Amino acid sequence: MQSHLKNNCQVIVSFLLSRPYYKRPLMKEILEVKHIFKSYPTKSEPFKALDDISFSACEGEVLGLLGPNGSGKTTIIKSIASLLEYDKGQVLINGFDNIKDRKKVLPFLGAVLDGNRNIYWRLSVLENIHYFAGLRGIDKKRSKEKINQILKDLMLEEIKNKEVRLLSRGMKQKVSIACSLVHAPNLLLLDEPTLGLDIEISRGMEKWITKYSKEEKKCIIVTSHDMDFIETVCDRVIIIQKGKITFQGPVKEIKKKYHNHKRVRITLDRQINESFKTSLKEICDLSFETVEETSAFSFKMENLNSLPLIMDSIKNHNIKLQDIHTSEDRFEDIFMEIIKD
Amino acid sequence: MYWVAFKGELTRTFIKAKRYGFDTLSRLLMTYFVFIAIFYGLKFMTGPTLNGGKLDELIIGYILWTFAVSAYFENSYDLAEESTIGTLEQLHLAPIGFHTIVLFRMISGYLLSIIYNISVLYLTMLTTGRWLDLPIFNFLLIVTLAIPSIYGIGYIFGGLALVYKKIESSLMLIQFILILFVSLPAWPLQKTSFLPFTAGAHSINRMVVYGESFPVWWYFFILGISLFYFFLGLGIFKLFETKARRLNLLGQY
Repeated sequence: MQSHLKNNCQVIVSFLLSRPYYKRPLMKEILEVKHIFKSYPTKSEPFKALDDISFSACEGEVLGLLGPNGSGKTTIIKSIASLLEYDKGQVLINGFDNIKDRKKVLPFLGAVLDGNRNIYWRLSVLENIHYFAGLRGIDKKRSKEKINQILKDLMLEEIKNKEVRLLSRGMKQKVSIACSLVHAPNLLLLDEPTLGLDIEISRGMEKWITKYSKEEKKCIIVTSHDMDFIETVCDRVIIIQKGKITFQGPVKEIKKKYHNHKRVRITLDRQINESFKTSLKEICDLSFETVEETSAFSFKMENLNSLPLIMDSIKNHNIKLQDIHTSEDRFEDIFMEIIKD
Repeated sequence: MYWVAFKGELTRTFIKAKRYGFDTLSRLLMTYFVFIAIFYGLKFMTGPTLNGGKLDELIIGYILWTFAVSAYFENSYDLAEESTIGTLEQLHLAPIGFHTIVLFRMISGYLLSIIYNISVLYLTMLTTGRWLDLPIFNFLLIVTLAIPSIYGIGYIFGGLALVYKKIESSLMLIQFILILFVSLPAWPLQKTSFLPFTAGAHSINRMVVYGESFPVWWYFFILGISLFYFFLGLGIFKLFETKARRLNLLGQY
């Protein structure tokens, strides 16, 4: 009896340990991407767009796909949505294969792939929503309450009867999202949802994504070049370069792994000369980033231990310190560092 | 589910026609003026001989051609347009299936084209002063049986549009080939009876102009040929769609 209990405990512990901590063990897995490959024929050798991509995502989670242009982010999104035929591998949504069981998968899936172009510009906001709801078998009378809620959440109530062509890009983007939400999909794919949006709408979008994923327990996969946006909304990110995953984990994890610098910006009362710079370099191995005419310079340090020595050197050169400012690396800087490597 | 989707598609088609009011009106007027140009042009060349049966044949032939052209454009041009405005990918995400949506779109477009074309028919009869004794039920029955063959051709060009995007020149060319399909003889059964839309068009012509009636099997023949071209077009469209999906062309403009 005791050994049986011990065995059970061992199984549970090994299961929990086998899952990285960022995968919440009690959350239901919505998406599983298993070893997908995709290449396009070219005149010379085939171009590998996706090279062995595997990851998963759970309900209530916002997962960000990051990477430079052409890295394969949109190809992954389209492969998940089965709008693109991948060469090898498998994508499971709610446990169903997205190619073989496509009809079973589509009710769980919503996607906004090219923001403002996913809708009919000659129809009004409400007409678009009703049309796309109709394609999913949702009658407009039955869905009235749901649609009103979506319009309210996305702040589209006042413009619901306006033709889409008369709206700004940001508003069109929101209408596209509204159309993809009418059937309450478990998995929502958003390809560059903040592209071309002003800060106000972009911040509104951040709030909405967080609310939607956490309160309604939906899984959202998002791609964006806006690193502040990604840092704010995503629980976890995947970095893709040349069709391969080079990192996956929570934003905090990336920062912990790659962030090892403090940025220091010092402003002095006079221009910096070479002898002063040499003396600073003797104290610690500084990497100067900018030396401005205004006598301000900034550099990166692994820690601030050497800072008192720099202060002493400034004092010894009879230079007065006007300002000193330290900051952490921004997520964008860390991302740039990673993709540079 | 399907009924809701069909209602949605029908609403979209009619709203679109209303919103593009100028285009809708231009389309009606253009169809009408082309007819007037043909009619008076022929009358000028042939003198007073263009009368009676010949004139009736011309009116009916022209209306059938407008039916065929609008059916053909409804499918191919719509698909070509959707592949460039970015909504095509969204349609592919609907659980009822893209081909069902296209089918609903065809039916909606056909209902709209009945309104267009019957209006033009009465307008042309009013202009020419030649009133046809039109058995409207039989007329619409045969057109409905024969029109899927034109949708089949539309599917083929819609598929081409998915892959090659800009195909306007070939779309234009086909509408002249449709004149041939509408004007060739098909009854009694002969080689040309197997061409798309020809059996239906010729039957209508003979029924309206000469008051002829046909055996039941002939209606089934029209439907059979029509469905053959419809499914052939659908099959070819699916091949192009698979290619577009493989090469990531569904959302590229």
